[in-house]
Amino acid sequence: MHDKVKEDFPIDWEADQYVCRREFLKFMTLASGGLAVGSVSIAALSRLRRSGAQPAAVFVCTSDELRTTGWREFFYPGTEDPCIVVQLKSGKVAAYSRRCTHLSCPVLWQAKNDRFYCPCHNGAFSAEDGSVLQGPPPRPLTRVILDIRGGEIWAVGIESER
Amino acid sequence: MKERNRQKSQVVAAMQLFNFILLVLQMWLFVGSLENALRGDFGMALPSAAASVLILGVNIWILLGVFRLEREP
Ligand code: FES
Repeated sequence: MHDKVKEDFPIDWEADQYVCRREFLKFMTLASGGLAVGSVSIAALSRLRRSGAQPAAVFVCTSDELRTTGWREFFYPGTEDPCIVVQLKSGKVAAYSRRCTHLSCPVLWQAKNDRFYCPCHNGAFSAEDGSVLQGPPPRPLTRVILDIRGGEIWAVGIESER
Repeated sequence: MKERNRQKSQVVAAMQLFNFILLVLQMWLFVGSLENALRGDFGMALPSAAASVLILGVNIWILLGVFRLEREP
């Protein structure tokens, strides 16, 4: 009985495996296409970023206001992007994004050390150039370009990656 | 005929292996450039996209090779 079935419905395993392999190859080529599209999208995004103009200038505060408090929070370039402008001991004014480059906790200003401190994992950044002084942050803080216009401090751009 | 099929199957298996290696390489490129992009570094994006498209081209060429093989007697 069993042999009869085999005779009536012969299975060519080689042919069967061949079809499976061919189908799998098709699927892998499709996956390869997906990855290529993904990579090209990232590259296109990078182009857009590079050619994109700086966001519109935003008024931060006056120099007098900054002198009295030593620091001030503002939002730039969007209303959801917290930034901080500080006056260093040297008198220099600098502004950075408040987002820690580790896991985005807001950094705190420590005037006596001229540095920003991130309480989440003990990270610290120099206020001079935003570079990492300690802790897990992998990159410096993003710097905001300032323009002082007759006693008024304006945020005019974001410094591109260093 | 059976012998011919066995040969074809082996050739497809070899192509599949090669295709797989390229796919792993492509994944590595994609993840690398994505990680860098999320970190704000887009320097690797363009070369890796070019390499990825090249690999896709090779993979398509391999697949077409299999179709060509099928048309053969
Ligand atoms: S989030 Fe700032 S150190 Fe981890």
